[in-house]
Amino acid sequence: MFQAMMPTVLKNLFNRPVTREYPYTYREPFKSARGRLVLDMRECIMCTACEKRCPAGAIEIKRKEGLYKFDPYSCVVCGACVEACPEKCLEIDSDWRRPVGEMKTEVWHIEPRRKKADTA
Amino acid sequence: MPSRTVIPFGPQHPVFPEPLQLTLTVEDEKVVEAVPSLGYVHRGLEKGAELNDFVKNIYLAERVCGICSFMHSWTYCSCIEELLNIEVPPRAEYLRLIFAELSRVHSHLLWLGLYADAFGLESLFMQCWRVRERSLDMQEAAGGGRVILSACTIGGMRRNLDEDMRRAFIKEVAEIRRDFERLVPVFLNDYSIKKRTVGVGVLSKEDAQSLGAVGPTLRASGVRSDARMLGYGPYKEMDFEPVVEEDGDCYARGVVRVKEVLQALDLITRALERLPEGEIKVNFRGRLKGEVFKRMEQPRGEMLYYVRASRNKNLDRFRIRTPTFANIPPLLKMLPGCDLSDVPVITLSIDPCISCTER
Repeated sequence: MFQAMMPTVLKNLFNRPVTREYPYTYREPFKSARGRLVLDMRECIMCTACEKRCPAGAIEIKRKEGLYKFDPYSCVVCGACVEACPEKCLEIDSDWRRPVGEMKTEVWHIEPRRKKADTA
Repeated sequence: MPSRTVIPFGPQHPVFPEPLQLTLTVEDEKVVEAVPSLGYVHRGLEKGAELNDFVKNIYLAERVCGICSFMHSWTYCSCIEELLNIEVPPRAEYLRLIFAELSRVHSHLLWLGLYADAFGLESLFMQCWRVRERSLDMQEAAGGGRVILSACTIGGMRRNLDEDMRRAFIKEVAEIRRDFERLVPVFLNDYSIKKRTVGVGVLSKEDAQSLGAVGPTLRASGVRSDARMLGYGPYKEMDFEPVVEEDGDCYARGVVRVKEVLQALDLITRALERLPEGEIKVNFRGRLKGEVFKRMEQPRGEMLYYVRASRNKNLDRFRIRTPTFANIPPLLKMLPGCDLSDVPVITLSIDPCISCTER
């Protein structure tokens, strides 16, 4: 019994722990992991393609008022909006959204404008 | 005459990951009757699917189950593909098989861990989950999420595997296999596991068939039945042969799952080696019309999908029969006559997934 157990005991005494010491050691997310949705509203043309594709109803667009609302806590990070966006304003970041004390909807005011091809 | 006592087992019980109540009538320590109560986690998902656009339903179908989510999206997408007459590219079909078998590996490893925990082997539980973590990492690297992959879409796949990842996956599968093979002798030969499982919760072949058991519960009773034998997707090119055991007890159900993990790892390796080149997605147009009925094999057993639509972007009817629903009547057959202390092991041996059952 002693002989059978001793190698395991010694291995466990002198080896590094198999688990990560979170939060001191942080596991980097995989490159293609879907962590959170990042919006860059500078190029947005308010086409509402993302709103129509969103299965969770996390995006709300009011074209006349130039309002773009995104609720990050309804978002299921499926990436359907990213595929739909013609201007590539939306992007999936591999890092997770951090915990917050208060849940806020992100709101942008965008001047309604035409597609690039029309304005040129 | 011994006195009878009624014991509510669940819905909150340390052995259940999800809420199911069994009202057990016991005579001394022997169970004489079990009555199930369901409905604690009903979400109205089928009705929700009828109100949604059919494309958005992929993400909803995926959320029916938190373990075999990929298989739900695959089944749903193949229903819609049949209605729209879409032919899926072969590479996408192979990728679907790889993700589906990865789900089977992680689902069975999760169950084997819980099973070990149910008869008190906590270190074995941790070892199983440690191996499972590797398969979850593979899913995250390739699909983007640990469990909810959102990788399947109508007409193919949204995620591809590049050549480097394909090679890395072949190596990783071999390592998972090596890790898991160290645990296999414990499940097959360990004295204390055999003491707790051999001859416990026996379901005869006739009962399994007449009560409509599915999946490993059915195959452990000696019935050679697996929906993958229908040859959907690339399974027809895989020379698939189901794992069958004869005894019909908890031990046999464990053995079936242990062997299925090894079989799934084999299938993944073969699919990765044969992965055809080409497109992974075809575009589709048109409205849905007609009805379709699909059977696919989940980790827990055969799942049925029924979809009906009439030229609308919404579905008229969406119906899912999950494997746990089919396995509850056989469970009620297994319980009478067993010891009260064996109820957790027997109940877990059908691998109950209550959230999918109630949707």
